[in-house]
Amino acid sequence: MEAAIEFEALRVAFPDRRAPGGFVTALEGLTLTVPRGAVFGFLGPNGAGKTTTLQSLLGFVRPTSGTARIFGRDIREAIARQRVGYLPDPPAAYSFLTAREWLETTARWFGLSRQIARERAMALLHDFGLADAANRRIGAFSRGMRQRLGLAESLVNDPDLLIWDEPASGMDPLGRLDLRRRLAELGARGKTVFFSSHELSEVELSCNRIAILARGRLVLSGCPADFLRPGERLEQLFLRAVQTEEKAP
Amino acid sequence: MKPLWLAQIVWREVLRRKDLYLLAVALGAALLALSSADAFGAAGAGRYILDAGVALAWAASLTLAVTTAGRQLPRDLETGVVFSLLSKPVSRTEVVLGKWLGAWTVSCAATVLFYAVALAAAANRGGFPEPRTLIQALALHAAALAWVCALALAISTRCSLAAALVFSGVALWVSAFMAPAIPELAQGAGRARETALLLVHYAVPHLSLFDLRLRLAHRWGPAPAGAVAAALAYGAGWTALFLLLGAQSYRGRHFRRDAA
Repeated sequence: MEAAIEFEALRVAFPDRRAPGGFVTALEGLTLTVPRGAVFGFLGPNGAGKTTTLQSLLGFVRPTSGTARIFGRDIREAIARQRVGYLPDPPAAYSFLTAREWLETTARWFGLSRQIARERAMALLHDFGLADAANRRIGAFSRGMRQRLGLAESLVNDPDLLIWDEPASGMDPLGRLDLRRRLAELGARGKTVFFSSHELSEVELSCNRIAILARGRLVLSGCPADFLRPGERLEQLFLRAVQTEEKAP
Repeated sequence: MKPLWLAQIVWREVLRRKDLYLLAVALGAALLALSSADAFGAAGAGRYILDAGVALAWAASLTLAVTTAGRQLPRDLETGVVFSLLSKPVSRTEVVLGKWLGAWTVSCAATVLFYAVALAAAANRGGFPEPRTLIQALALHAAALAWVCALALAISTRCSLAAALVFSGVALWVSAFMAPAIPELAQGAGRARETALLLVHYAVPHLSLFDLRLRLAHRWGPAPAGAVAAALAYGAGWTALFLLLGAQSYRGRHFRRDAA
């Protein structure tokens, strides 16, 4: 079966004159496969390399060595991004555009016709509770509204793979509940969702696969049930995995 | 088609900001003040107001072109929009092309507006340009804006917003005021310095080649078609070069969230 995402010995180092050796290693030899249809939680403490991983995957940062592929293709090929929906953290859009204009424009970048782009934009705005704000400029949006707009944008092309960076960020409890429902729905539709999060409870409730990253290294990857001890919560597993890595030389 | 949709965003941004309207109002106010002061005597007023008006139209359009083109890419990085944009099936070359196209076309449209203000002020005092010269002046102005936008965009691929605007402004100042004076400076400067100065003279684009302001104001008649065509080709050449450099530079960039 075709993997949705494959990392192979991915290493990312950034030049830093103050660091010993003149560079800082953000990711060290990451090898990871995300199967199609998985709802995959990508966990790690701050500075573990989660965002760098996502940014390498999307081609914003060029790996020092190793490869990152989406549906078997190099992400630097524009065509590989046709099947991907991405939510950055924090989500960003042109503040002088209205929510409807932004979604329509992003839909057109995926090759949708004007009519379909308009319909898709309005449907998503309704779906994410932003219909009343459709013609308001994004600059006037609250953090939570921007987050919802970012999630809507990531779905505008009905992608097979969703890459979300901290999707629950800035959301109130109702928003989180809605996010959980969406994750279940996307999983049921066979979509692959690869998301990074600090919200372990969200991951525990929504994901069928996880990976934990610490200090740029992959500490653990697979089904949570394979690693959890009887009665153990994901939070405890996370702490155990991260602390073990941090004690390592 | 993708560059066109990006260009459309640039248009929306410019139309929703105040810069364009402020520049047009400032231009109109300056010309109104000049007209009412009657500084040039009744006989030559129209001609000189046209001269001043087109000079101010140049200043306003160059300001708009540099600020619009120069802020596109750094602003995308500062706001994080670059991450949304580059996660779509849009190549980086298309991003550069779309941004340039938007900045150039909106600057051209604004230039037509600025000329209209200048012509209205001049016509009020009896100064009418020849239509053929006016068309040539506008065409050459548009050609100059094309490479100015491409230059500002190319510089901005590796700079912060403030640095991009400063460097573009300096480059434009060199092109407008220093480059034409270089041969004069080179005379008697010693063989090595003269060669170096002349190399600089030929290595930078010359804004003055696109300026038909005096011909327009003093009704000297249209410029020879061959010379206009050569200037247009010269402008197109510089535009292509700056776009190529800009696209190449942008394609090689890393974009990190903490750099945003």
